[in-house]
Amino acid sequence: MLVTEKPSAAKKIAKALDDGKAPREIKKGKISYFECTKGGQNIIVVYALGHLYELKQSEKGWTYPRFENEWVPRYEVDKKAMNIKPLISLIAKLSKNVDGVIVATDYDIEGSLIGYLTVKYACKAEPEKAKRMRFSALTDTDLEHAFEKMTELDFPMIESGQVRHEVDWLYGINLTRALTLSIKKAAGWFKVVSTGRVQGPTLSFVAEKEKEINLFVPLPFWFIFVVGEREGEKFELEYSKKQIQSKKEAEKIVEELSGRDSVVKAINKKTVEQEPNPPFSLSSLQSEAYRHFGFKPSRTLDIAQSLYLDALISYPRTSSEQLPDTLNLKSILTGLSSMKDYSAMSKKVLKGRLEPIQGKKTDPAHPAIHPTGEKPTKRLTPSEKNLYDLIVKRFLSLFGDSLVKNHLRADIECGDHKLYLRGLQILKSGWTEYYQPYFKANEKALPDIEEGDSIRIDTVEFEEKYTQPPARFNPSSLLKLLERENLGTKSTRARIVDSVKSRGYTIGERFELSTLGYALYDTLGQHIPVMLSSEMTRQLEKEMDAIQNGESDRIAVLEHTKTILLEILEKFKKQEDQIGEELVKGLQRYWKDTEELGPCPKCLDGVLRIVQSPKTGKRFVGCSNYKDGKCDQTFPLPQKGTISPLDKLCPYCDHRMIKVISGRRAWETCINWAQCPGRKEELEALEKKREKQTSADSGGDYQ
Amino acid sequence: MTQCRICGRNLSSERFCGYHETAYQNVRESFNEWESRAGVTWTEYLDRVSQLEETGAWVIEVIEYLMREDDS
Repeated sequence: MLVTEKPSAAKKIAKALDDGKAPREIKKGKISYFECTKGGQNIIVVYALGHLYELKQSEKGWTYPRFENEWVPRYEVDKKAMNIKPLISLIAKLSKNVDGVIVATDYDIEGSLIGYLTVKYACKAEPEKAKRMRFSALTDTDLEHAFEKMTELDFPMIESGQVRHEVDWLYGINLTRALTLSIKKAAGWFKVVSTGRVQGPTLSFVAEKEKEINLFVPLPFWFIFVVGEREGEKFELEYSKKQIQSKKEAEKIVEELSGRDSVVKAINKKTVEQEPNPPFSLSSLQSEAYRHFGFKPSRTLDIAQSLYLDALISYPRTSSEQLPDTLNLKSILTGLSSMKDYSAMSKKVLKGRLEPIQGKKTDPAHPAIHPTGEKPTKRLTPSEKNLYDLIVKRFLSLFGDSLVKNHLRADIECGDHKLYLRGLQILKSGWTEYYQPYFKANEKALPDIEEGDSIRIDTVEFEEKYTQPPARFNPSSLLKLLERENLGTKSTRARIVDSVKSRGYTIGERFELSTLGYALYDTLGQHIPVMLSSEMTRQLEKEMDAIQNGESDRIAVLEHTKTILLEILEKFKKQEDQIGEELVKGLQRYWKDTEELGPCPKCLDGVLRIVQSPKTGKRFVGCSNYKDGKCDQTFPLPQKGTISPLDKLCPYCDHRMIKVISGRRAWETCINWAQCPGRKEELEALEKKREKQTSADSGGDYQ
Repeated sequence: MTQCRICGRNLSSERFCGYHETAYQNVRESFNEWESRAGVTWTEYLDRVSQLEETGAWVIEVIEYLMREDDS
């Protein structure tokens, strides 16, 4: 029996191993398994749905500290996971009549743990006797090779995965309960406020940045804008100092340059060669996908996973920026050359030396992300198509020559003042030919000038500008920081980045800290700063890596974790009342900021609040006096996106304004938007514009 | 009074919480730089900084508080 991680992987593997490439799918209600034959052996291929088992507290009581746990079927912990119950029963039943079990889950920490737990608890087999298939792509060749070269299970990797779950469970359960119970004690509310081993330090990074932004006082500086003129041609010149520190000095420069002639003293040329960018690791793919398509790191990972399951790309959870010598590059390129979009480029690459550029980072389990060369068997979604295109083009660009460019700079003098004129000339496009449209050169020629030429200063002005606060994080930059700080793993970071937002600690796409985020950060920082410290969790990461390298063991790491945690929890208990009170104040501020929309215009006594219908789950604005039967004022709200109240009123109807952020789009409207005369005007204007456009499109203007 | 006059957090100085006190110090320290760069008075400085989109939220809150205090 062969255990895989997902239904699509099971189907791929069964097909790859079956002698006739036509495995039988045996349906059992909503689930199924596959039967295939290889060299006279009958193989049953079953699938999990991610993790089938999870940790559950084995002592009683929703309190802390709680250190004892056990692995149980996931549906016992998560009610939404009831669909795995028949799956576990099926695996248990089928495993009774098999000669042995083979784990063919993804070859990484999580995949190895899924396989191990399935073998141990669902199959009730001895993991020491199980076999492991190791592969980096779901292609027939890779899978057949992995089947022939099966090994024992990778126990250090499994133990590392197991301890990671146990440590995260210990931190998450105990710290979240400590925070939640402190609120309950202070105010009697049951509001879950969560934190975790990596979530605390992540919150801290966001909060530190937010503090810098909120405390920022911009300073003025002046920018000198100069336009030169020669033989009727006008062009912008760059003043040598980008920032002038005083207004008087800026005025003096303008006065001294106005109407004067300048002289071209030298024309410098610097030729630069730029090698291709290295192959994609998960982190560099996430960063590039955010830059070009605006995909959040978690979305990129999901799409990449789907492309992997379709055997179009190699395994995406990799830190490697290298392609091994054993990889059949010729076969991949031949495969790509049969696809219309990549045919010409692949054929061109195939004519040259197949030596791709390599990056520095490595991963013992998987190579860098690359296409497999297999043709898509289904129509890709637009997002899948974009990501696949990016991966293929990065792969092709690895074989390209260096980009060669000339940086040009004309040095111009006018009295004591220096000015520059810059240009960029591409001499050889090299690898960038393959990486279009993801590389833009912004080529710019210099005007036709020579040394000794005179340029008249046509226009000179100064403009007051201000120093800028540090930029907020975006999902990609926060993920990169976690990677740099060695917090979390390549599989967990995207989820952690999402979690600070989903738990209400940040608002919007750019991770603006919410009042709840502040309250948690302030309270923990003041009373239990170690819960925000990246040092402690980084140390734990090292210890967990040491298990994988065989340098430490699970029991030692767990004991160390419990000792640290016990100290934190004891300290917490002593300050529980104060912590609870501070969190309650923070929560009140948070609810006021995010849910209250000012006095009710109907009863003038209640407060308008954003509420969610318990029946339909839809949100709307309602009056706080509704519960007492005094007021039935409501306003509908857009159902998609994040809504934040604004501190201003609608100029048309005097109702409170709100900001709606959905994806990368943000707009402002009033809560009375359905009835607002201003919006009616806007809608009418839009309708007129559409009608005009339709008329123009159908040639109406010429009839 | 034990609460920040701006946000209600616990006091860390006579008038403000830790965040607003730091913002207040930043406002005071940056004035010298503004004075020498742009030749502005204290009132002009407060007025201009409070209207810039680059200015931090706590800095704006402190400036608004200082302006209200001046008015009263």
